[in-house]
Amino acid sequence: MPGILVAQLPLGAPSQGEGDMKYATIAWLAVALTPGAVSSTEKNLPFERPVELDVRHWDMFALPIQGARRIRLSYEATGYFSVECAPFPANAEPGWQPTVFFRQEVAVCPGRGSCMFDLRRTIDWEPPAQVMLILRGTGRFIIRGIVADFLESKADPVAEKRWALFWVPERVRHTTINTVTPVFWNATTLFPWTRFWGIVTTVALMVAAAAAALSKRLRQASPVAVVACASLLVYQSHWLVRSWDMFHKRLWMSTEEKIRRNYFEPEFGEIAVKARELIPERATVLIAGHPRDWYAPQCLAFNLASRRCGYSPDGTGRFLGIGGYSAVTVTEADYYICYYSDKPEPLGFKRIFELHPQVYIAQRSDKLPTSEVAHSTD
Amino acid sequence: MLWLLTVSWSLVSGYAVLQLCGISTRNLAADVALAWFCGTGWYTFASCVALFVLGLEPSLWESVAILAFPVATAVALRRRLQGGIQTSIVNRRTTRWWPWRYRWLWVAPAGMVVVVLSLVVLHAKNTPTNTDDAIRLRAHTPMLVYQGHLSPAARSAIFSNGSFMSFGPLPIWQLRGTIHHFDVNYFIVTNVVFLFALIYALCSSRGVPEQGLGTVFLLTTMPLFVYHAASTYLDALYGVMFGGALFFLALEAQADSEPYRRCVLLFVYLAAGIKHEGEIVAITTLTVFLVMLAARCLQGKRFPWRCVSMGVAPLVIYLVVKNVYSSNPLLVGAARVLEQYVGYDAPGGQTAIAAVAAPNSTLAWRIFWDSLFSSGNFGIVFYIFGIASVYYWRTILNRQLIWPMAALALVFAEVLINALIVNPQWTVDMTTVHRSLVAVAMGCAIMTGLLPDARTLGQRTGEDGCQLAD
Repeated sequence: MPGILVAQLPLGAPSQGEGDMKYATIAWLAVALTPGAVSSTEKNLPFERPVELDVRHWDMFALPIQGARRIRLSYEATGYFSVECAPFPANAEPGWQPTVFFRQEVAVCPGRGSCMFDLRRTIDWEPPAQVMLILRGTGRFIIRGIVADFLESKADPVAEKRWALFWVPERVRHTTINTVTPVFWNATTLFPWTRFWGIVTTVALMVAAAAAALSKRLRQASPVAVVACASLLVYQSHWLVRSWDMFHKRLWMSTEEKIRRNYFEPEFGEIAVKARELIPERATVLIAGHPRDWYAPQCLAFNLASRRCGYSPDGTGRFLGIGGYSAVTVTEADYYICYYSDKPEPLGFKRIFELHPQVYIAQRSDKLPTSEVAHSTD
Repeated sequence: MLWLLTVSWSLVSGYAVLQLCGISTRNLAADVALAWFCGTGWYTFASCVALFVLGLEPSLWESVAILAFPVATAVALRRRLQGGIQTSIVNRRTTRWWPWRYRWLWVAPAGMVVVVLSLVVLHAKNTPTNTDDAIRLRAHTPMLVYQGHLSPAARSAIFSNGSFMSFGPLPIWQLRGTIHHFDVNYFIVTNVVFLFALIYALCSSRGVPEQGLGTVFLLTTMPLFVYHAASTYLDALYGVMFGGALFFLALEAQADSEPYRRCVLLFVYLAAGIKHEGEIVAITTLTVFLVMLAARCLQGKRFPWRCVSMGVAPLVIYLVVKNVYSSNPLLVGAARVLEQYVGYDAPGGQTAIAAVAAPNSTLAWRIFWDSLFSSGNFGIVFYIFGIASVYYWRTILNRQLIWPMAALALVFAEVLINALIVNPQWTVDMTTVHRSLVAVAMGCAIMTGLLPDARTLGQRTGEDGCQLAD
């Protein structure tokens, strides 16, 4: 290996929740690839050497690839990441982020591996779209290789997108609880699949009802019930195929394994498991998070119950008990957990475990048996 | 294993309760499913009253005593109860577990139900409480009760969430000796599984398994309900109780049977114990139920005062306790839901609604319409319900199903008013509009499943079109 090229972030890494998304372009490829620049549909991109990305909480990179419909990324990670590839629309405005319903996030743990992204399954995909790589987590993410599958020259991108969106997988997202992923029968006109199938079913039921009204023999065959059942089976089969991967189907998992593997952010699952392991049941714990985080401190408090927890919901240093019905002071606390808080640990606390400098567990020094700090990479 | 042990406790206790209340079906599967609701209903009622009225903090021994009390009473009164069993809901002779027509065609829907239900159970078992769930009342009020946080604000949260959810997971935590937040998921999914079992078993015991299979199949075709059934949210849970109340209201409307009346009142009480929305839905259903009974008086029948007063008593006691011990009482609390969605009651939860879209009634109406017919959250249930209601209009009138339909229509109207007039901003940003329709969609699925009666399914039946024996 001739060496590692470190991608610089000249615009600075944005932190989660900030308005305008900034990103850096990774320019390590020998040529910027477009659909016309390749002869075959699938190609190993010319890769001189691995690229190391130093990621802090949430970074977005523009890959110099255009027209890809699928991308397989080979990586080596030193931290816990949520990795996503998304097409960057031509008319994107400042602060652009992928449409929430069509995000394809893959959980990555430390070590080597590869992940596949089907860019056609996003509403923003069109052949000239540039590909964005979005990483959540902190640590080094080394891209060891990319295989891109480009659109054939004779292929119809509209038909490809329509078919891909029709089978868009259902995913567990922050917003799935509010609404499921919209599925389009026609992605160009954004005609919903449910409306299409509902109309087809209504017409079929009306025909069945008319047939039943006209013929006593047909009426005995319960045509309305049969048509309704058949229609529901078709609709349900389509949904089940799309949703199969969403369900966590393992027959047996330990509690720690469930928390570690099945949270949206693998980094969060890891710190929650470690906290449950290190902090005794009777301890009092303070939890600090990023002021605009998505309830991570509350969720950590939830995972640590029945330990007495206080979290800082707004980053002001006030620590509330679970539900906000009590308060916990720093002097009462035995442990302190930081999940991307901007503030340092309170005086008198010493780190006993850290995933990285922004996510760690600290213990009150006078209760610390040893001065050693455990690192996730140890 | 500990969860199964706790479920067994509730089942044994609930079985005794249903014997005492005279609502045994004499069908073991239906009795077991009904026993779960009786057992958890009794436990949550008694422990709530014990805590707030008697000042007894929840403990393992108190839970054992509460759950053992109906068993001991049933054993003591067993001779008297033997007479009560004779007036059970259904007659064993009519029980049929599989449709006799299109036998092989029913394999596909039944298989689909089994697959989806298995996925829901596994997903609920394996999925930790998601990040934003952790600040919601549904998940943390049982923790407040378990840990003894009973400040006025905490009491308000406990009653906002309702006694059923706040007290339901306590026995398993008392048995474990610690809080295990997955148990909240287990509790919700167990209710869903037992509702499915109850509907299928009771329809089968009435001789029309087609209705049971059709209903549970329709329920599993609603993606948002399926997802909610495996989550910590309560929309599916109060939908389960509303669905149960509607199911028994439909059976009662056809059969004019006292055991069914008691079951309606049981599920009305259970629904009232889940969030403000459950309270509103319960009171709506109860009102329709009482109007139905009053309408029968006009036809010369006696009003069942004894049954109604006994059945409504737990609800009244619970509401009195709530009014006395909470700063968030009945009607005031129910009205609050019209001005603020209950999930954001907790301090800090306000951040979630800091940036809501400006109200826009036209847009809200379009999104509400899309939620019903285009979003995919409820599959094509509303299409099928619409057609089935028109096609089976004679059945609805002849079998007095107009009453459960009226309850369903009223609840739908309440959701509509909330979505379009009171809180259009949360319809526009699509945070609550789909969730608020889960209970309505469940009601539509249940009513649709019950519409094709035994006669329309081609069976030889009695004059009432059903194979009801009582």
